[in-house]
Amino acid sequence: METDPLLDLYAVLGIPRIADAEEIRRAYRGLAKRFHPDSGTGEASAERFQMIEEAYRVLSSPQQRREYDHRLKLQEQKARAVLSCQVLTSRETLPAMETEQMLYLLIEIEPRGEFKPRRMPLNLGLVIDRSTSMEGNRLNSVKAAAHRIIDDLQEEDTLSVVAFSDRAEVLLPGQSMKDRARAHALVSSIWAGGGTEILQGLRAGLEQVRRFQRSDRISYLILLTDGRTYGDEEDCIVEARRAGLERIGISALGIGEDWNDLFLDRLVQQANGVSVYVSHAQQIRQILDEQVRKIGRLVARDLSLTLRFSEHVWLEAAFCAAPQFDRLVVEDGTCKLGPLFQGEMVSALYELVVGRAEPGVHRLLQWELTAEALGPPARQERLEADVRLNVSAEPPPEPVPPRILTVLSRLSIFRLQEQAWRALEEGRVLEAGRQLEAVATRLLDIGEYELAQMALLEAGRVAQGAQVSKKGHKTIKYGTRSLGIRTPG
Amino acid sequence: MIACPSCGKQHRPGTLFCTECGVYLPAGGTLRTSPLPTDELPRPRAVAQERELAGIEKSEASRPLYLYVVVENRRELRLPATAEVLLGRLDAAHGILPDLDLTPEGGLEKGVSRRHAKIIQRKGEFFIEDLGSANGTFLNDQRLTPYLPYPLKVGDKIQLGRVSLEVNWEGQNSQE
Repeated sequence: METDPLLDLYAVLGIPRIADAEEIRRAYRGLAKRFHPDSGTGEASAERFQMIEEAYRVLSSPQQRREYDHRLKLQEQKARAVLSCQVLTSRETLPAMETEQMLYLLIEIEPRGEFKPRRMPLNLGLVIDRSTSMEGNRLNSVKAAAHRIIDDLQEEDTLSVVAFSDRAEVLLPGQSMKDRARAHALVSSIWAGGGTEILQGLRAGLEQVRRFQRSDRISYLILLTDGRTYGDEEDCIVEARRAGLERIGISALGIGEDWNDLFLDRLVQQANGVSVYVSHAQQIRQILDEQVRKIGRLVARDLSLTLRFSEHVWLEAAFCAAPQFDRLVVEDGTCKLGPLFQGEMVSALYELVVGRAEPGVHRLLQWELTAEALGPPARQERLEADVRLNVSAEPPPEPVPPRILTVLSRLSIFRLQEQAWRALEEGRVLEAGRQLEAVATRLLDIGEYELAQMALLEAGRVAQGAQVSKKGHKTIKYGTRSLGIRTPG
Repeated sequence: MIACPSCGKQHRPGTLFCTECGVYLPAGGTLRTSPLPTDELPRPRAVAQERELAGIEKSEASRPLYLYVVVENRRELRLPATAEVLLGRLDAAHGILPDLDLTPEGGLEKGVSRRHAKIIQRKGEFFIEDLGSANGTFLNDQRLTPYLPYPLKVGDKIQLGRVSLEVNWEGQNSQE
């Protein structure tokens, strides 16, 4: 889809972009005389002369000049862009057909190779669940992780720590990392006791983060919890949405098996975050550490992709394929893709139905990507293009691009387990068991033995009429979700 | 419409995976030529070897028979250089029996996955491929992209998690 770069016609004529018709004409006359092949000035050049003629032809017509200006602007936007976008379809040439056929579209977004972001100061808030169930290993691991973060943060960064149970307590008010000893002491003083009311913690945590929120900082809140919150879930979602609008990100670590995955997933989606399943206390330190490092590599946020389909083309389903598998909510052709981190990519897979394909070259759709690229200075970025497709009565055999196949094969496992849980909820037990078995088989195919074993175990449980274990459910859900390919190809 | 060979569900032409049972639908026509999705397909070795043998004297057609792996500069292992050598950590309970088990090197603490990487032999050359391990495979300090084979040279340093290995091999003409 790459076209030749546009020639800067203004440079050819040596005039500013705001030149009026008279200036254009004068510049053209002067140059045409100088470079005309018959001019005898010693500078005669047929090639140069042709370029000048072409520049004048385009710029002297108001209509053509407007179109050219628009294309030039797009090209320059793209050249300055922080993001690059690769679009792949499962076929380049469709067979001509009167009936419906499927086509897969994969859009991969990554930071441009040459783009090296400068580290921006972090404004980090830790919100730690200190309910009774956290007592022992879990809380100790969280503390160890917090100590590590305090040591790793740089002086320009700020950190706040809030502990919550039935009520919230600001342990470490937001402050720069100049006095680490005090921060260590305060973190050490956390003790366990009480219930889990996430709203309390979330509000207190956000309040601390807001105090240091500035446009040249990356503000994130990380929630660590092991339990369910009751009655205040919708209020939490409202808080998270507000934080998202204020450019504060929220990520969550769910520890153990008892937290509400659907709730935490929804919570972080509001605010450019991710939810992570932590099955063992020993993993807390590593995972939290990874999350903090990742936040420091934020390149762009609020990625939003809009597709406009041509006639006879419609959307069957849309999925996020990276950084992890998920269903995409599409509203008016637009879906939110969250944040993008250096060294990673965000990708979306669309299942399209082509209703009717007649021979020829057709525009399948237009896409537009918008995002806020982090600075300095932060700015809005916009990329757009068409996707065109050949349709032929006798299409040549062509292999499906391997990247699409890999994504689809792994995505199909994620979808199968989704279906299994749904079947189970609706009481279609036999079907759920069969689907979990299929999940296990497909996992074995791709060498995911541990996950496959877990799926098989749960399939067995279901077949015997028993409940699926919470651990099994979370392991399979979060395991298959992260089968996506995260790094650019 | 095309029917899934496994569950019979009907799909539109062009569908690649059954939404019902996840099976790859090598549906008729030109779609049949598509490569299969898994990264672990057996490769067409026989054809490649025949072509190689055709123009070369038999004695020159020797291929490495043994792979020597020096683990952490202490343990040296001789492995039959079969088509594939799995490197990882033994987990008998799950039936994972790697050809080279790094448990004695402290594989668990040093972040070796059960199925960490494999060394593949093709036409007498060796390749290493990371199997999507948790902590990655490094070849001469370069992290490998999972599921892509990288060519190996004699004396290359490989790192699985934090366990380092050195690989060597030798070709033998006579049958043992």
